[in-house]
Amino acid sequence: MRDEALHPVAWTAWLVAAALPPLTTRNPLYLTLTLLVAGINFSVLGQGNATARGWASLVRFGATLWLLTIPFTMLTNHHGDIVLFTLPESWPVIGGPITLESLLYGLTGGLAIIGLLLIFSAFNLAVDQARLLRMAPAFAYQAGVVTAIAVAFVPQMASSWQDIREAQQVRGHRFHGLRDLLPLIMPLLVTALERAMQLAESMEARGFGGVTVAVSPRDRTITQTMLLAGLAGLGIGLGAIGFLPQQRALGVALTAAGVLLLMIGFWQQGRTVHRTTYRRWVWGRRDRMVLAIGVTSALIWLATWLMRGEWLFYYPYPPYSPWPTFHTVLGFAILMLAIPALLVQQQRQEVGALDPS
Amino acid sequence: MVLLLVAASLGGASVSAQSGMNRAAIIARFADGQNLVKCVQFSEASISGEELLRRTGWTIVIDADTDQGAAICKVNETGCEVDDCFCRCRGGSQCEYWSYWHWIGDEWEYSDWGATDYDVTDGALEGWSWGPGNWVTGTEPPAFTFEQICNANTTQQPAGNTPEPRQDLPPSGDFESEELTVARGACTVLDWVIFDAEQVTLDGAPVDAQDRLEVCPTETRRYVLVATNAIGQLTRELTITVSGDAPPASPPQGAPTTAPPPQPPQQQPTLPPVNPEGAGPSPILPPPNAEFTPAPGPILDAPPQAVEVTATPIIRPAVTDTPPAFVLTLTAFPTPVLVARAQSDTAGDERPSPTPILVALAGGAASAEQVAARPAAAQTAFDPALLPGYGVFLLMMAGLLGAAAWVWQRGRAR
Repeated sequence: MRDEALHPVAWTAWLVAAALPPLTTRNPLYLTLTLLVAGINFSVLGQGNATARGWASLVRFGATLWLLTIPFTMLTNHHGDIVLFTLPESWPVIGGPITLESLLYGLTGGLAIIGLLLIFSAFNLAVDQARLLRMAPAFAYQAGVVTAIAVAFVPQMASSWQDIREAQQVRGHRFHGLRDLLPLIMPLLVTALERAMQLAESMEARGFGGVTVAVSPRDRTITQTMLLAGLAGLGIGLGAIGFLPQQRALGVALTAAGVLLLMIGFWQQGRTVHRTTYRRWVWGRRDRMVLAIGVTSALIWLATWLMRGEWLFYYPYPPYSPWPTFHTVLGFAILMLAIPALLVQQQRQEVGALDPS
Repeated sequence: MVLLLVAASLGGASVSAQSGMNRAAIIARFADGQNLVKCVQFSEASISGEELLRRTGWTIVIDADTDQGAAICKVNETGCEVDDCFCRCRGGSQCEYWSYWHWIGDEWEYSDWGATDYDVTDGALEGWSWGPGNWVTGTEPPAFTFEQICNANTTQQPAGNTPEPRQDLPPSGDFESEELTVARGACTVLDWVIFDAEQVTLDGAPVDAQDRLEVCPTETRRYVLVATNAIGQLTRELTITVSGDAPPASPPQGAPTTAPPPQPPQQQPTLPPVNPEGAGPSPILPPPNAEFTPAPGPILDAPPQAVEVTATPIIRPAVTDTPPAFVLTLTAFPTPVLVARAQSDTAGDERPSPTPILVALAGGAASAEQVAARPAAAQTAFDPALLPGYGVFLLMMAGLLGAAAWVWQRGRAR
């Protein structure tokens, strides 16, 4: 366990706040700031973290894809007024004017995706999977464990791929073609299987899947019926809202009833799972600061999105302007998300000063 | 001979792009049943349906980022914003969007292609329609023919398909000019289409409900078209600005290349000018560069914005394409000089209409939805009001880069 890690709830607030800009706007200025903020957090959290390399390669992969899509957008999308140069019209698909607007559009679309990748990578570096799992509500406990294992699979694979490759390189293995992949893939498969077996055994040993509270068959049937009815109400209600605009009240009522039934059913189901925790979560000064920063930033952004939606609107093609707008308030909302990185850095120094080893 | 010279002066502005000039007609049908039509000229062998729509000069909002190519979200003020292009299609079997149609044979066919992928060739008639529909069909645009839109200088109204004149609406229609700014001594063609009117006058003289008139103003002046019926009156005004510095060497009359040649004065003018006594400047002279001035008279149900003036350059037909026009000069009235182009029989049917004309059909009055404050077309120019925001952005970037450098340095120190 990393002792310096901040509280997962605080980091979740940061995650929500940081993910809002890339999800709600295409404005390149806000996206650039978000990217930089996420990058700073990522580099701080990645210091001395074994999985950081795996995440960094994922981000690099995303960046490569982004750079590849920009020329694709430019060559296939011939809208816009500011023509950079023109390809002969006779060339299929790519012929025609190549515009600055399509370049901007390709750039902004990729910026949002890279930003999201970096944000989620930083979050994963900051928060331990096991700690995250403890935040899952009781009814979702088993599903949460499965999800956590699945989520951890890709970075684990990536890091063991790196290990195996280095080990084989030390042994003099040279990669020339597809056939040379075999000495890399075989150990990877074996390691993955071994890890899965180990995990299953350790979960069994800790009593995973065991039910501590006896439930009568009647109670279980009631809970399951409630869940089914809730899901049906939710589905029919959402369908009614979408397809029968004149029956809006009915649709909303059905949706609300479905959500209510689902919540009661889940709560009932959650009562059957009892869990105890060994480690206590500590709320420190820094945890509170990170939480406050995340909540403030997210609130500013959400309020803007709901009340001043046009501030976030950006679309380079005519008749709109290719020049993005910039509002200082929103800039600060993004800027303050860099503070957690500085706090973590400061905390590391204090820990280092106490323990010089 | 003299007439040929005049024609040369008319077509002289754009002699280059003459041969192989193609035309296509386009209709946009709006929610209230009102239509915009336009004849678009293009020099290419074919252009895409989307390009045709762009060249109309209407305000078009296109979502360029769909998988099927571009989707038309909005024409003028009808439709959806680009971030939600099919905002009236929220599931269900019926929805409203801009559907795309081709006039094939004798009827409208719902397009199987996207506008980006469809090639429009010479003589095509294309339709766009906002109305209830689904993904297989939509609301058909009104029946029209290519000739009705592109040969509108045949003085008959589009016959058959246009609704009967209605007595319950004030007159509607449009009045436009090929060019709003002309060099001194050069000419331009006014053209207008008015519906449901009992009487139409141009500067006080009765004219047909749909016609064209060549004018060669020697100074900036205003043309007023008034249409009346039992219900009300429609006033449309057009100001032709004469750029003073244009051909400095040529006097207002006499120079054969730019000015219309003198004609025997006994020819009666078909249109007397408004201010026959006016040797001086017109009393209603608008400020320079003003394209429109609001009509001072009572306007019923037709805001002045409804007059659409295309900003696209208009290519005029070649010298040889134009049959000699009958030109008369009014020497009796020194200014302004009106030159009426006679609608001779030979000219009427064969001469291609060089003007993209705009017709508001179907008797509807201009709806508020359509004419209300249009956004300015493509604002590609930088707005200086953005500068402070950009300054703050650069400061923030600098701060963040400083923080990144600090973090990096500390990380190395560890």
